[in-house]
Amino acid sequence: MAEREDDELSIPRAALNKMIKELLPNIRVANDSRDLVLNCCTEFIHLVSSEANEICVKQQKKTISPEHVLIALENLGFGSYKAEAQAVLQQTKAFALKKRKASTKLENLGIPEEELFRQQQELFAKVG
Amino acid sequence: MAGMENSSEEQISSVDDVVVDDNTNTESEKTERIVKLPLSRIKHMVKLDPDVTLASQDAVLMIAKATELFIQDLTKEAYTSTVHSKRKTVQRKDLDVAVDNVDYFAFLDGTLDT
Repeated sequence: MAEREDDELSIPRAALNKMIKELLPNIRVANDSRDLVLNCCTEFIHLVSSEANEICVKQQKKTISPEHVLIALENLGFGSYKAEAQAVLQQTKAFALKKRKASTKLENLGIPEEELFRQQQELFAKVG
Repeated sequence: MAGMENSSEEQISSVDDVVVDDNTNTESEKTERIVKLPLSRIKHMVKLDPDVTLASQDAVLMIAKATELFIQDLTKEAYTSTVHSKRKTVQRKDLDVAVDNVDYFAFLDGTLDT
């Protein structure tokens, strides 16, 4: 991958192409148009980050939170994005929870801890 | 839309089938993605702003999702112009029209000239 300067940083072309393909499967998009969309994305990200940061600073916080991003979106006219943006957070949490539960289950072979303990005690009793 | 069998609305798939990507995922077998854009790249871009101190991972995730929605929004809007002009290829002029037509795309006014 070629070295890029920081200000040329944008989202990957391939990711954009994939998204366009999924959105408009049978439509051609000129290459220079794709480049333009990439630039627009960069602008968008800076716009939202900047606004979110301002809100963050106003609240005298040091870290931009999802709440700040939501307010930023609303302020900038992108209120229609809020619902899905929030949904994504829920999905992450749900997935993380599911993952934790799944790994616990794997360890215990689906048996709750109290039951395992009880079985262990029984075994000890038998041996003793 | 005249002359088209499937309306553009039907062709446009929603982002329902997204799956999860947590950045800390060490299992390489399953990379399911909640957003299609790389969070690390977006985080880097956010931090380029000298005023920004820190952004939480969740905040970066939201920005990533918002950017996806933005891409879809902009592309859809540009495509409307393409169809209206009875073309099959989305061109730069379609993006121009999109920026003109949609209020909240006004911030892009100079961007298309680069």
